[in-house]
Amino acid sequence: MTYVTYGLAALAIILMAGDLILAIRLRNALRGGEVREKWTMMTVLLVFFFSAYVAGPVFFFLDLPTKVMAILTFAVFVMGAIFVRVAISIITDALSFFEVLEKKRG
Amino acid sequence: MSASAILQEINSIEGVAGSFVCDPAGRMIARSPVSLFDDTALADATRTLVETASPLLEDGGSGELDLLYEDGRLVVRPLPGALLCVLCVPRLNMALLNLRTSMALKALRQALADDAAARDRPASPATRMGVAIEEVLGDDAGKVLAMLPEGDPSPQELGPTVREIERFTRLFIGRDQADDLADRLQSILSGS
Repeated sequence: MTYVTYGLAALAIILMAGDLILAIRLRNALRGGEVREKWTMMTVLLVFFFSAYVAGPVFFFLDLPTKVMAILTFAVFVMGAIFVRVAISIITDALSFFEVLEKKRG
Repeated sequence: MSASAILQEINSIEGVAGSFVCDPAGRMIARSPVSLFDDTALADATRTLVETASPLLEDGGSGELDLLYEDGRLVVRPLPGALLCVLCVPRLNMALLNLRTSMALKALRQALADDAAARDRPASPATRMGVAIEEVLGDDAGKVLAMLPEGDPSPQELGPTVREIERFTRLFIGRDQADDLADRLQSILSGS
């Protein structure tokens, strides 16, 4: 069971490291504007996630109290919600620019 | 009809290699075919030609200069503020050439007058907007310039485009540039 836990943690860390590299590359490719500002915020959040993913198995290995693990977990939940909000905002900007969205009536 | 199209009609006479119109300073106004000699050689030749021909040909008069060489012939006829030059073989049907150039001169006068009027006309809003976009965005102007409609659209037609350009710039380039660009494009649209 412990091996499965560490295995999943390692997989999450690898995937998140790849995501972080992709996000930084895309940020560097964006010239500026609101989209780049929001993307920068998302990249910062990804750095937080990556740190939390690395901290998770370390805390588990050190057998820290459950309360500490819970704080870390819920912090990731909160940041995850913010991440989703920023992602929706960027997608809304892009879709509204291309006039894909239907305008609300009234 | 454009000056180039008129010259092409002259060129259709058998024995004509090409033709061009140059101004009194020897600058090329129109030529057909475009590959007729290289630019430098043609510019030198036209300058010399104009210096030689100007005393002989009154501006817009009915004179003609016919330079006959061993392996070629140059027929020069005057236009208002320009010269029509036809390069041809030494022996060709001159009556046909004279008839065709006489007809072409009338059309060329009109075409050159139209070109001059177009040059004197103030730049269209779309053109001025293109200049403003290049000034504000510099190297980033390419994609925004592609958003401008082709042709000569009216200010009403350009209204939505201005909003799109402002939005694109705000999202993908920068807020300050978007504000600056929006001000400049709106002032162009309002004609101030």
